Amino acid sequence: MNFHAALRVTCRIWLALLLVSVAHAQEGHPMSGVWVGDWGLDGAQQKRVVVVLDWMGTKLSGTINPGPNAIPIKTATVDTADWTLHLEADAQNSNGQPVSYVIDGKLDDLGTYNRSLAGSWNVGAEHGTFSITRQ
Amino acid sequence: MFAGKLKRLIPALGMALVLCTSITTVSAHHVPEAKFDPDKPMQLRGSVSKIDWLNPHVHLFVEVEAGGTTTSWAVELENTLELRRNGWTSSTLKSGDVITVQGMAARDNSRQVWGESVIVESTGQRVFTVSPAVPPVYANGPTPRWPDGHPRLGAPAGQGGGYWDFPSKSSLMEDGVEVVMDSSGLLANIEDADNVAPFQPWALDLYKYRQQNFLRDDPMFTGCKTQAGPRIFQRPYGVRLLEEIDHNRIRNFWGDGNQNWRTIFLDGREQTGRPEGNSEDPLYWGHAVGSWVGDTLVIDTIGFNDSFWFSNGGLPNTPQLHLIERFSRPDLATLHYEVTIDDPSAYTRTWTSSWDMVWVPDAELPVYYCQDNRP
Repeated sequence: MNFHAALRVTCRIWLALLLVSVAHAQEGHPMSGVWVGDWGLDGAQQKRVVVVLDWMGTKLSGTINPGPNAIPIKTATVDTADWTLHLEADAQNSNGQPVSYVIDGKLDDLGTYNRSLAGSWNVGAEHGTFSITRQ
Repeated sequence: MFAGKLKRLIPALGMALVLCTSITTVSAHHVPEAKFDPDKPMQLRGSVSKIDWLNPHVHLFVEVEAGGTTTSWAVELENTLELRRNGWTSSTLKSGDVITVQGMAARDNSRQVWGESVIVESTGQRVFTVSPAVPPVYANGPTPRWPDGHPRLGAPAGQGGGYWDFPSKSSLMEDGVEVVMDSSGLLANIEDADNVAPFQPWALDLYKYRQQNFLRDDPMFTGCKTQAGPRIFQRPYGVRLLEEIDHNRIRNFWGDGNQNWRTIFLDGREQTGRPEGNSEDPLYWGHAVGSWVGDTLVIDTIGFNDSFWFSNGGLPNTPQLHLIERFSRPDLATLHYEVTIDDPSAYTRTWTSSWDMVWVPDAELPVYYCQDNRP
């Protein structure tokens, strides 16, 4: 098994552990939890994404794609008037250059166990959409 | 070697309604208004084709003829326990009986109606009426006590049965606050929401959302999730505090829900609760340790998960929830319950709510199985 294959397996293990650890429905802060879904550039093939969000008492924190290539969320704010979410995160592109993600979404089906978040993201001149569901 | 270990690990990782009480009917499940519209009264006449005697609501299936066609309707009634308590059984009606039903129509315009009145045409008898349970009447007396002087939280010596019921409040609200709620914790006026407790903004918005949707997402009804925390003491069908003196612990049972219990340890062990649970800290109920302070039993509980609603009415709670409960029994008939809520992730400060319950002597806890709930 080469390094990249091992990395993929490690990521799967991380994801499995995360999903097992939060297999129960959560009724606390509506944004807390593990969210899984797809994201991608407008019109392009969508990719899998995992977002972990935690309500820390007075603010949200979280990680995108936890694992060896995790992207920590720098800023996370919720407007509970309409349950919209704004995220900002810094990462590196495929060339190793720093890039900043700006993500905006809206919560749907607030009261249900498997509620969903959908919206748009921007990184530089690129735009895309995402849709994730809480596990 | 790394790859080999990973390969060995992979197989191991392969695991991975229309309810509650209404103002007029004391019941144990979803608020009827969550599914039915009080502004859409309706009447139908037809013959009974089937009676579905299941929780959370009994259903009558009725064939209704109109304009030369026959349509099937479902009439939703109270739960089996509430109907039995009022003398009704699954054989109260037979297939073929013609009935007239008055009630409210489903919000989604499906052929369902909440049955407020069911009258049998052949006899004129009104059936499936439900009256609220009333507290028992008996001569009150002094606080029963154990030989060591502590109040007994169950039956007096020599008596086996009994439980606590008829809470004087139906939902958590901070002491000193006066807002009107029905027996399921629904506010009469949504504008009162921010007076109920010192909510963080997100918690207030979630509380309002749950209220405005008639508590339809309550996990106790949608998934037979247990009640936990102070909600145990505000549900219909009572609670029992079984004092196991030889083991320095109390088992807390309740008549509503999924027939679980929590254990309160009085043996001096340390507070070790954590939301993920452990052998003495089952999920949902946290780790409860307590001691007597004079005539008051003080219980400290942490380690709750957030997979349940800790109150009728949908007040939010998080895994940071820390409860301090105080039980006292000023006389035979009264249990005074006080709970201090410390959940800094949902509330801006600690706050306290209290109410009384009534001793129901010589009786076993009623049993309402939510496990019977129709999927």
